Amino acid sequence: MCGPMAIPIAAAAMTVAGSVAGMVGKSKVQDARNAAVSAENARQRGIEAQSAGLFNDTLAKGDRATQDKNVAMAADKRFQADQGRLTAAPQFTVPTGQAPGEIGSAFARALRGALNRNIDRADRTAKVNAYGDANAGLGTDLLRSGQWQTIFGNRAVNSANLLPLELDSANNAGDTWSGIGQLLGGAGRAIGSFGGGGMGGGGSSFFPGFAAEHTR
Amino acid sequence: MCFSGGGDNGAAESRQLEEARNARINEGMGQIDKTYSGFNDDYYNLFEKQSYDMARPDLAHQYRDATDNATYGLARSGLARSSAAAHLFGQLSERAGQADLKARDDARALASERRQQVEQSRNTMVSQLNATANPQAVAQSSIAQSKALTAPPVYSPVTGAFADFSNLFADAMVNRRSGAPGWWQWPTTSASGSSGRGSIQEIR
Repeated sequence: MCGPMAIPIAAAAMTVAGSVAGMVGKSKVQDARNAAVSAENARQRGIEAQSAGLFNDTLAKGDRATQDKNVAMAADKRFQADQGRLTAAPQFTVPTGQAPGEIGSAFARALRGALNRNIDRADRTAKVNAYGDANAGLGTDLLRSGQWQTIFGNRAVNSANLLPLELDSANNAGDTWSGIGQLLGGAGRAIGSFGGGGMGGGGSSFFPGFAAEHTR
Repeated sequence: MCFSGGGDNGAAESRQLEEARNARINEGMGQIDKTYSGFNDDYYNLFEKQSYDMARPDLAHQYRDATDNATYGLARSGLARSSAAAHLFGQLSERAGQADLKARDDARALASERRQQVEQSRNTMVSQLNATANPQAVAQSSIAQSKALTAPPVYSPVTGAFADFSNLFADAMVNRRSGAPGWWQWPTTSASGSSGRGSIQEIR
């Protein structure tokens, strides 16, 4: 049944199969490496998107229009509180008792003038101090934003640092196919050597004892 | 020769550890937010009010003393019902308002300082979390920090808000007894803080 060409053909087939398996193994390695790189790129893009979103939100709070609005709100809050307190403060009123009308009027004018000046003072003070209020609010936002940006930065670096390890691991992804390829290739060469030695009587380097015994 | 394929060099485990670390940091940030959530606008408004309330009795007391002194002094001078009295009380009232505004601004500054302390404390917690990625330890630490931050501020009593008015009246009395010219002249304080002199117009 087995003709004289059977062994060389089998050897050639195994060698070819071994080569194919080796190519499949290399392809598996490349796929695994590509997958590792793609996954890392996706992670980096995700971190970058989170970071950029937070940055843009924080940046938007720092523009002139927003700051002006915050200052105006803070000034109004301060002024409303101060004006209400000054107007309602009973401890700062002066009893005029049974003073004649003219004196009573003089007292009233003096107190009203004092109140108006203080309200004006409160208004002007509130407008200036409101900048501090707005800055404090922005400072808190920046600080908290910075905390998260630090976290995002650490994540990006830590994740990127794992990529070489993952690429190294990906190099083993084709081990099964490569192993089969090496086995088939080796077997093909061995059979080829054996077949070649038997026909030619020149001996084989692969199975020297076996070849020597069968060629005597 | 190993044919198992995809032999792991620890990469998968390292990735899992990193993702777990990220999850712990997220959890820790949530715990920090929760721990510090009590330090909100209500907290700082209350803090500001309490700081201001500490100053109010001192201010009110000094104002009463100043108005009493002014009333007695004017009565002794026979000027209780005069434009000078009205002017003086107007000045006292304005000074009282100024002192009140300052007390309120001081209270705001204290509240702002407290806000900064809280943020610094929170920032320390976040740094610790980044370094350790241990939310439990950071949570315990942040609770301790937040408790420490509930300590009241150091109270600086308001003193001498009307001191110059008292001195002014004492000087005026001495000058009157000695017959020195100008005893009837009171210093005036404008809204901008500059001083001037005004004369008395008696109204009888």
